[in-house]
Amino acid sequence: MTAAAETKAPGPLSEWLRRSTWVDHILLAIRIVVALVVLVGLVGSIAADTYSAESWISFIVFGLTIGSVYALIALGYTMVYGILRMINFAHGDVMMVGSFAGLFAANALAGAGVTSALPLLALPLILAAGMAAGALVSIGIERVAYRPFLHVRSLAPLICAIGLTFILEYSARGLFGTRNRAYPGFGWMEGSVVVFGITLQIVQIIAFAAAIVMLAGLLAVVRLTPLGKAMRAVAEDRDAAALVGIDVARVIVATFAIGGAMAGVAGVLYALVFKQITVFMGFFLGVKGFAAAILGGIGNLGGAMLGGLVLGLAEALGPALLLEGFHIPAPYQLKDVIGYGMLVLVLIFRPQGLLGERLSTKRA
Amino acid sequence: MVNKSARAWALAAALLASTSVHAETVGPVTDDLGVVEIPKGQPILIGGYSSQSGGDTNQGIDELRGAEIAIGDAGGSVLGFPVKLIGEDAQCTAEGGQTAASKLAGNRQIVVVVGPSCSSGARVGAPILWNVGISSIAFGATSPALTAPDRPDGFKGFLRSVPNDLKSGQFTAAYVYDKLGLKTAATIHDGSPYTEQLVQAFAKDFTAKGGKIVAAEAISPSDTDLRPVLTRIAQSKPEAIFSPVFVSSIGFLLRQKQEVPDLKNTLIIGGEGTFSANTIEAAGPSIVGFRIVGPSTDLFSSQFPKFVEKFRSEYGEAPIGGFSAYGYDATLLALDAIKAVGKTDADGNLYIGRKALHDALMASKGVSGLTGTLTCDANGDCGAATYAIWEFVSDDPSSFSPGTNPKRIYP
Repeated sequence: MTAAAETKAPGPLSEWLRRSTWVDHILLAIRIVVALVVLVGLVGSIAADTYSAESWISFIVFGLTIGSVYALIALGYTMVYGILRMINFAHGDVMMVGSFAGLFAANALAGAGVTSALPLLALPLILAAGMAAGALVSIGIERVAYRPFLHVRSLAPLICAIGLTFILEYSARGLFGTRNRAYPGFGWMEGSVVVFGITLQIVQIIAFAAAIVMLAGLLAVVRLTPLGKAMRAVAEDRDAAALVGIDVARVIVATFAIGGAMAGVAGVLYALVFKQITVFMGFFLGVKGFAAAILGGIGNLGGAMLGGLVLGLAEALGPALLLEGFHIPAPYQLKDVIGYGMLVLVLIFRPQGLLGERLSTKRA
Repeated sequence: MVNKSARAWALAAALLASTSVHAETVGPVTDDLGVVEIPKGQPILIGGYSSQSGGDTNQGIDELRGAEIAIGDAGGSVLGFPVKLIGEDAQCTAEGGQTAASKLAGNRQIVVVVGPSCSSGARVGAPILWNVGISSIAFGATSPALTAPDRPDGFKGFLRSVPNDLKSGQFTAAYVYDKLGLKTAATIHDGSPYTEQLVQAFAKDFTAKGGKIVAAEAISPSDTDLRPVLTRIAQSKPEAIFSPVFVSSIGFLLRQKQEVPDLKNTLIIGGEGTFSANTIEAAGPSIVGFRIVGPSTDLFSSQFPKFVEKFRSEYGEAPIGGFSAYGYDATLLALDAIKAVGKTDADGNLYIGRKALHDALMASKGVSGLTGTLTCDANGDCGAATYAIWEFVSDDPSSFSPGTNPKRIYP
């Protein structure tokens, strides 16, 4: 054996084998199995040729629409988490309250003749009502469930927030009743437009555009305004921020208010797209929004947007794209399995989420 | 230690013995499942469990009110003994059914039970009652599994005055295939036992007639975006979609169907769960043309209008749909059976054998009830199926009034 052969550097495979543990081997096996399942499903679905090109485009449009709603909810979750490292579990029900506020505003505007006289003005007014109600409720939640525990490290705020979801739901039930409420539409928003041969409902475009605008607005607030600077400082180190003269309590209230306003927008847009609301709708949508925030990387605004859209697309496309190939009957009842399965897999391989950053020890 | 565990075993054995059924002879009656002795002057107790809280409260209250009127019509007594109804809340859940049935089963003086309102409650409650020899007659639980020929032994004591969903499926299939002449259909259920078994019953009868189920889909009750599943169904171009899901889901389905080009003109047939004004609000303008299969009170017996008047004067409001009539009929069967098997001794005490009572219930034949003529089959189905197809004709929620909106269009 020559000296050259002895000193030859080991190949990447043998190096990996030397350094890896059994956990890495299991993770690799999971990756391979998942990749195979997805591949077989994809090939099978495409080979089955069940859907036309228009259907696939429709699935994508549906996914982006519901994804935009998830994204808007996720933005509120992630905003509060990014600044405070707290999850506001009542967020879904704040959305419900915003949605009802929008409904009452819409009915009032329609009754006063504003909707028919100034149809373009009605939407911003309804959104404003939803945002105001969401922000107010959110500020109330902060006061009741978070502020008393500001300097205590405990899970109490989480439990308080879960309790508040019930209080909000059942208060709304007492005030508004349990029946499904129809959301009014505006003439101009009911139609559809054809873009590059694809028929799009106007309201779907509005929901998507609103999600983008809200994201841009939030980024602008966080990056460009004095309040945003204070928020980032509080997020970085609450005590140090207080030492340099930042009113931490005020920043936290502002964060909750903005998160609540996001929920209000989400509630109104959801209702405009899906046309009926109930007092119990906040729970499931809240869970979906939370999942989207985690998927995108909680604490990251762009991640919330991406997480929402990816979750929406997975739900809309997943059954047709993956399950069709396995000839699973009634694949749509498994859409949540696909959505949450994808969430789990993303978190196994990328615990910080799609766009999240690894938290420093202190912040974590 | 040994003593403690021995005592625990003895206690467990005693508890077990106290809840199991056994043949016994009391007074003039010998019965394999036990005998209820009602001393002279004491009331005959009938248990009732229905939804007294939760979303189905109105239904549950009406059912027990119907039972009270049936007792009133019998003069408040049978065989000279006053009859007392003991009501429990079964909500519309398995847990509620379990709690209510356990409470009733614990009262050994209860002769028979009427209820519950929902299949989920019956699924758990009926075996608890039958385990202590108490027969139950449901007035709202329609799931086919409860009276299937291969049902578990725990359901052998279960009967019902409300029609089995299989009959609803059969009726709908006949309407779609025979009356409308449609040959292809799709089904959507929401995973609940009621909707799943109903669409299965429909699919079986529709296929048997020569029709074809081109898509069988499922959604979740919390789903809001049904467009993907509708797009999938549209690929197979069904002429009708049968979906007995509830108000929210049908609202989304009808509204979003408009966005799926191939389904715009497809006929949607829903179930009786959407027979309410709220469906109109949930579905908005797309409600017009929506048809549902549901019981038709104007096909009930000629005694029904009189019953409605009595109900109104008793409770100050009109009954909702036919719920109270099923409660009335369940109680009617119970009272008839008690009359048939109750025996008195020389002292005037009353004895009712539990097995004899069950046999008498199962043998009910040609009983003239409010909902029609009641005859129990070998599996405990006693209901007279009086279905109709209803069509919504207006999207104004205040116009809801069975007969005008929705309008009965068949038969």
